[in-house]
Amino acid sequence: MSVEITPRFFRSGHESWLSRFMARLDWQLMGAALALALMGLFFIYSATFRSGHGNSYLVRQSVGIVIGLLGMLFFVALPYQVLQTYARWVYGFSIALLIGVLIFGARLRGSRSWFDLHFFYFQPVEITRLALTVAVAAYADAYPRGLREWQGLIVPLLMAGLHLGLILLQPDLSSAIVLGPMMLALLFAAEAPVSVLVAFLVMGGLALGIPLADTYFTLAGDHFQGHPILALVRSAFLGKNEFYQVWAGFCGVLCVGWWFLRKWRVLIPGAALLCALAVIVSGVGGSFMVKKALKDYQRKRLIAFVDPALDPLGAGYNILQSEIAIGSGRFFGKGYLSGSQTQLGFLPEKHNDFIFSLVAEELGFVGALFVLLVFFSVAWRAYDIAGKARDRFGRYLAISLGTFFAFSGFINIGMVMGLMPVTGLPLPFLSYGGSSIVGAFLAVGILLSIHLRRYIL
Amino acid sequence: MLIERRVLFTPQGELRMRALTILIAAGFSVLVFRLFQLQIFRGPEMLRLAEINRTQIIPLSAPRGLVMDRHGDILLDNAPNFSLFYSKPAASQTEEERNLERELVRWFPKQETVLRRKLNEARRTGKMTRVLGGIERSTALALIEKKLALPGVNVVVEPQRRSRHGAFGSHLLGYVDEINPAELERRQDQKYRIGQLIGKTGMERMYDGSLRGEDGGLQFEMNASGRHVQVIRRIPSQSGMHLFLTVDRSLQEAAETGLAASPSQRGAAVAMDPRTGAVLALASAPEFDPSVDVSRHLGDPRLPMFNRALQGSYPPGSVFKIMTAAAGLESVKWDVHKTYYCPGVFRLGAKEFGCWDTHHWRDFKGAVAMSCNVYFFNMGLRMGPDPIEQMARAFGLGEKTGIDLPSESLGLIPGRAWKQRARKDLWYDGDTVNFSIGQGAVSVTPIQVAVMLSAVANGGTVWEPFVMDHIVDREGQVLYQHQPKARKKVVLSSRTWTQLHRSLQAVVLEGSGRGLQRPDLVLGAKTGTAQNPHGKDHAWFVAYGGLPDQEPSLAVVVFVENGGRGSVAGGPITRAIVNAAFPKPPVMEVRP
Repeated sequence: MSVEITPRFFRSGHESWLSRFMARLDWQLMGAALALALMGLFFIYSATFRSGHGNSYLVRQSVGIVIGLLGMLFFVALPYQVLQTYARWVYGFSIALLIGVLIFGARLRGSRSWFDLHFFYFQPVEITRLALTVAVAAYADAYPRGLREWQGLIVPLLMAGLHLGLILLQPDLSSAIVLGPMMLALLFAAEAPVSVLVAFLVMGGLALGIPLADTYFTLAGDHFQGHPILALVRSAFLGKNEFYQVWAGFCGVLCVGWWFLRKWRVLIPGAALLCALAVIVSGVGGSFMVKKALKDYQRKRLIAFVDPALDPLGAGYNILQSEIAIGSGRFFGKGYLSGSQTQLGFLPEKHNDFIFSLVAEELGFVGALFVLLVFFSVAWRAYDIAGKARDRFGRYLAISLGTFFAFSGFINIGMVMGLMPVTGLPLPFLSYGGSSIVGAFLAVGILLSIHLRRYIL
Repeated sequence: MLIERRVLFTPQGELRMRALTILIAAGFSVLVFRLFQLQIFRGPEMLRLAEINRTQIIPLSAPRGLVMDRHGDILLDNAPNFSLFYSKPAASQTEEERNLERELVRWFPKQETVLRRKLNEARRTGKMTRVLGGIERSTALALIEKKLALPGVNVVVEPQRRSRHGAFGSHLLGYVDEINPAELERRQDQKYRIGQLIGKTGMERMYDGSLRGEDGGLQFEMNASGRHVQVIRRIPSQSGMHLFLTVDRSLQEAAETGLAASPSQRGAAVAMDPRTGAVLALASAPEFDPSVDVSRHLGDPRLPMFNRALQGSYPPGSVFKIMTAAAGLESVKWDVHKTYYCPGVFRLGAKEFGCWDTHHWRDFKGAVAMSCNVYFFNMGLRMGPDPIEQMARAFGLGEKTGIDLPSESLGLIPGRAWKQRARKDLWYDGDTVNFSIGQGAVSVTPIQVAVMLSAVANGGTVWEPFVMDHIVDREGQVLYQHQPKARKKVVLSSRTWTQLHRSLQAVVLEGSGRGLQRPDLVLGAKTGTAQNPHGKDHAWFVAYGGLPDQEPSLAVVVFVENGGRGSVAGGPITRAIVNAAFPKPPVMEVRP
């Protein structure tokens, strides 16, 4: 138990609510968020001023920031415990949004992820992930002891699983993936058993790994001619029915083996077998989804980071050009509006997923490091807020939101630097996109609210 | 007092909070490290790649140097020509590439194969590649107008090699084409690059280094879709050096016209100045057209790309009797007045060797003039093969002449040692008989015969023949002047020289070369009709001479492949060349 002594001025009896508010607000977090958003504006301009669309990108992004700021103020003003009280409604609302977008949504670039609101497209997943966090945090607060047993994890995982499934149906793979770390961090902070979490991590990894391996082996073409073992593995992934037969056979072997071992008094918990089967089923299911939902070029994007040569004109090209853009910026950059990779159109999606490369090219190591540090400080502030929160709900909420920022940043920046697959996850605050920026500022609002109300007395 | 926190959190929970913070700090450290690696460690490399992305260079070919004959008459120059270059835009996708290819094929349906091959090459190398040259002006202008619809395509004006007189001197001058990988490998140190034009044969090849000049370039800034943004800099090209040849256009023309009108229209002619070894004309028929794609000549059974004057090695026939005669006069003190009887056939054991006519009794001069085989059979058998072989080698037969043109053949002078080595057999008298009239294994190239004949004409100096006289630079300054170079000197007795000249002049005055008679000139000649196992006889006609009381200033060798009788097929051509070298004095008009 630690005690914070506030300065005398604020403790005196005649302090106003405004001065108290000003003193307790987390200026660092808000400053960092605003700085990133402004930087985003500048570089969206740099990326699009030659595009022939005038300032429309800039105007839309500004509108997004303003809406986001208003939303942020609303959440700052709203005691966050209200969210806890109405957590069921919040969760229900998010499910309604996700189902709604599947029914009424507009299909853009192959995914039904947007509501067409005429003046802009709204992507509900940016809001629903906040709602899911609220719901799971509320559950974890309500059943603190329950979470320490693995049975207690069933409900939160079902809640997350429902979201995950609905998002994958759109399909929006990257938004679905980001839910995983958010939930894992939350449950980890809520003292769920590490072994179970690790098991889930491995399962999730396999569930993602099987589709990735499948995609890789299917698209790698003749890469493995002359390599007997890889060629054999590849042949197992090729062909539609063989693939499922191989895995079905594998499941069968597991079951039979388990049964025989049991006969011979080698007792393995049934849960372990079920887990293994669940992993395989989810992996094969994921693979099925990837094959069904994604076009060839999208699948290539998933694996291009492993081997850019697989797709030299598509995703591999994007990664390569992005690395060239970042590297050629060197220490001080080429100057605002004068990055050749960006301005001559070699860098793809420069106002969107690849905006970090643009910053790195035009401002160099100095600018890119600044962005990285500010981004890190947002995540760090969120974790610090979690540490100081007055209740478990606030802490879990802050942890989950902080993980969202950290993970998105890591995935996006890792992607543009060739460390991560090209998933199409935007960089919060900087990337162009109204829904994304509104969602990010709402999250900041919730964090500020938790910070503001950290005192018990 | 403000209390910060309820006592709800366990130490375990606090620990986990700290673990998560460390985890994200580690994650961001990885990003910082990677950023440092990309921007600081690999920064220079990445900057270079970005520059390659950004800029494209269109090579501006330098005009090749002019090539002129000995009178300054221009034989080769350059004409402006439109070429199509292509480099794949960075952002271009397969579909766009396919569309572009289809569009270009629509423009140039005839060159479809070349077009597709070159476009593939451009895509593979990622470099600016010349796809087509020699585009018509109207097409080129239309293409330039359509350029926006054809990203990555550039139409530029390039100087193209032009022959002033069509196929004139094609074997001598050669042609230019794009450098091939093998040549590129061989000439690594000489700053050649892919797609550069290089002389493939003839003078163009021998003096490519002087003729080619220095290419310039146009450096563009280009965006990802292949459109030019701006010109960064322009490096002007530097013309090559100019070449003055020893060739005389009128002689060359006479030789080529004559060969084209010969019975088989295949053959070679060489004219040389016996005083220096300067080549005055060097022709091989059929000619090829250097302005078209020469690969279409490759299937032609008449072998137009084959330079018969240098590469062709043929039995010399009776022309070789000059060597036999010289060897006989020198080695066995041959009595030139003694006569031998020619019954039209010569018996050696059971074998019969024929003469082409029945010459009855002939002395040396008469035998040379009428080209009597039997006389030379007797001469050859008297001295054996060795003096003949030595004499032929002394005059430069059987070895390269060292002319400044590529791909010379060796020819072959047989002998005892050769037969032992090549045929694993002894040399028989029958071989000597054949050898002494230039039949059997002996073979020579027309240029070798010209060198030999020049040495006969000038009294024994075996020149290294040359075609390039001097090189001048762009300002007209003479950079290099070729000096005649004697390879060796054949020393023979004066009696031998006199007898040789007399007998060869008798060929013109009373023998098989009577068609060459010119009252104002002193000429010697020898005809040859070489039997050839592959077909009709080859015709030879060699002549030398000049103005009376002067050193001989012309040696001519004419060879007509499967031309039949030497005097019939070769005579008119030789006469035309001699007449071109010594224009007939105007006939005096006698007025009453």
